[in-house]
Amino acid sequence: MDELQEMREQLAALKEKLNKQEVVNDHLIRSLLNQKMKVVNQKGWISGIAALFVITFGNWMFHQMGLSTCFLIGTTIMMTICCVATWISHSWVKADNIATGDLLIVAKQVGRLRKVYVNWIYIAIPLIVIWFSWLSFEYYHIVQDYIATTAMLSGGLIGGLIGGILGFKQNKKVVRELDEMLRQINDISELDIKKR
Amino acid sequence: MKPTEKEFAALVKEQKSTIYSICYMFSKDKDEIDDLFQETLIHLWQGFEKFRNESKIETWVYRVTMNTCISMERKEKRRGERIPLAVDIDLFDENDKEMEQVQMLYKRIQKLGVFDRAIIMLWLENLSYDEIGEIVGISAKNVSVRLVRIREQLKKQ
Repeated sequence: MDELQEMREQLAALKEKLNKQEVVNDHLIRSLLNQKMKVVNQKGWISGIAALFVITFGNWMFHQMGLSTCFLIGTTIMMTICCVATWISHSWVKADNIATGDLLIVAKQVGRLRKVYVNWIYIAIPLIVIWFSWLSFEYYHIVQDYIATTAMLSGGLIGGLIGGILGFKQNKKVVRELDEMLRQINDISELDIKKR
Repeated sequence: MKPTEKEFAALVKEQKSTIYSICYMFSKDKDEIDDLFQETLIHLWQGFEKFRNESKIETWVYRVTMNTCISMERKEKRRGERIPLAVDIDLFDENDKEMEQVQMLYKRIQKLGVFDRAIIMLWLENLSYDEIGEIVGISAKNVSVRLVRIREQLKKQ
């Protein structure tokens, strides 16, 4: 028999064998959950790096502008809290648990992380308003010029608004990803119950 | 599940034997098949929502699977964190009559280069020369020339 034709038959035998096998959804979904968590963690890293950038470059710039040490310390504390809170909340969800562990525990961890992201908006907005008012007050005291202050603050406000909208979108995206993860865990749990 | 996830699960169910058998031909042991299979599913999932039906879904599945297998073969690097997939047969270890045939096929294909392996696998899947060419990025004429050479190479074995 022609080699290639024989190989075709051998492949058919292989596929027949594989067709009898069930690729369990549980594993596929766990794999997808892991992927989703990676995306969420990536966003956490990006916001952490942005916070570090504000601490270093931002503070250097504020110092050049002649803003008070008190303001610099305040900014540093605020951004450090952001960094640490992001790092801690992301470390709750362990990749090992997603891969092989109890998904109920993963669901709890993901739920906790989701809560942080949802509540973050309510903490971040007042904090930003306070910080920006403080910045305006400090800057006005340095330049003593209403027009210069307005010009600088308008620029800052536009930049802040753009950053805020992007941040808000990212936050919503992360919450959506986490909702999706919770729904998938629910799907797997239902699958487990049906199997029992 | 969202409709896309349901569709994806259905696609995996329908194509799993094709994907798995291609992964098998590019692997050295069961762990490697699982790695490749999982990596392929991830790539398929990542591209699934963007897939716009410009080509047949089967052609797209072949392309993604082949690209994953070839690039993993080149990198010779595996993901650190692996989730074992529940396919309960070990294509390297089982010993029945059917498996002897499968292992013979494996040995034959393993002797070919990576690119020829891709071409022969697609030909064995009954794809036309045009479709094979489209997936591996060469003309249909080149595919036929390559297949003649592969046939000669197989005869020598």
